Amino acid sequence: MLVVVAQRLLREVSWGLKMRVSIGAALSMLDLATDLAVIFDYFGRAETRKYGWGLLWMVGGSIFLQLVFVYVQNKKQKEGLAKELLVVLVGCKPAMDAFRVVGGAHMKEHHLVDAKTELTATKCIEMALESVPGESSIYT
Amino acid sequence: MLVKNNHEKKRAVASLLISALATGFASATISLDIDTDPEKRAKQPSFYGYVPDGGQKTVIYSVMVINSALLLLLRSFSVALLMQVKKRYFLMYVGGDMGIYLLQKVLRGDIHYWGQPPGAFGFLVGVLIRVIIKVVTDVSSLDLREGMEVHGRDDTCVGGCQR
Repeated sequence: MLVVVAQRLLREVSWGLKMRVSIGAALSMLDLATDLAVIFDYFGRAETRKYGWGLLWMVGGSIFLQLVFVYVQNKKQKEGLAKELLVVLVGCKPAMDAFRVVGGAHMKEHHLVDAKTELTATKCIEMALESVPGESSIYT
Repeated sequence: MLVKNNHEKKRAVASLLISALATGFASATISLDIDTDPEKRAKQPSFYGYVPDGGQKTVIYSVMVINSALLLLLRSFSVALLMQVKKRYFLMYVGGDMGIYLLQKVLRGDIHYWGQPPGAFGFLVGVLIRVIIKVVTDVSSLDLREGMEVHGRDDTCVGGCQR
């Protein structure tokens, strides 16, 4: 009972969540864009090309793992699967996840996890494979 | 350090800062959601609840974002310095830290904690999840303190001390 009341209260004052999730999504997409710009710069000169390849592999790995996660999440319903995979490929997954969490999307029967867990998993993959190696690579 | 062109330098610095901020935001958001989850607080009130319910929540959240972003910048900088000195040092540091961590997780049977299927495939997925989560928690303030989530008894090692 207490948990239900608390959950309802938290749902009603979700402006904080909306702001946090939306800014986080915008930053994630901006991060991908700036990483791609740096990769482009690295490929421009012979002495930095190896760092460009390293960064490209990490960004590619992040996108690959996100694709695998989206496939596992939606594999029981093939209809929307192509659209979900396309969203990852064009780099709009953070926005899509944020939209779902902010909109209070309910977990569908065929889903493995709910929208908030999906957002958390995607963020962890992004951080581990894109942001962290990207930082080290640019510093180096 | 290899960037010579001024325009490229600006882009590299912008990328660094945005990556740090994105990581800070993501880890602080996840940590806040975990700590303020009503079910978790109801089950373990003495464990969860470091984020107060009043107006201080925004202050705590902002500090968590800054802390994560700075920690990532610091860790990345130290890794870059190690690589500049000798790549072998970097590989020894990362390999040793991750190797010991994974070994003790395997020996303790914690690999299947995250609900993956049993068997060899589930084991590989478990190792992948463990590596991703360890990387993220080591370089940010992502708060996965409960039981076997990250370190457990191993909380006194490198990653645990930083958090």
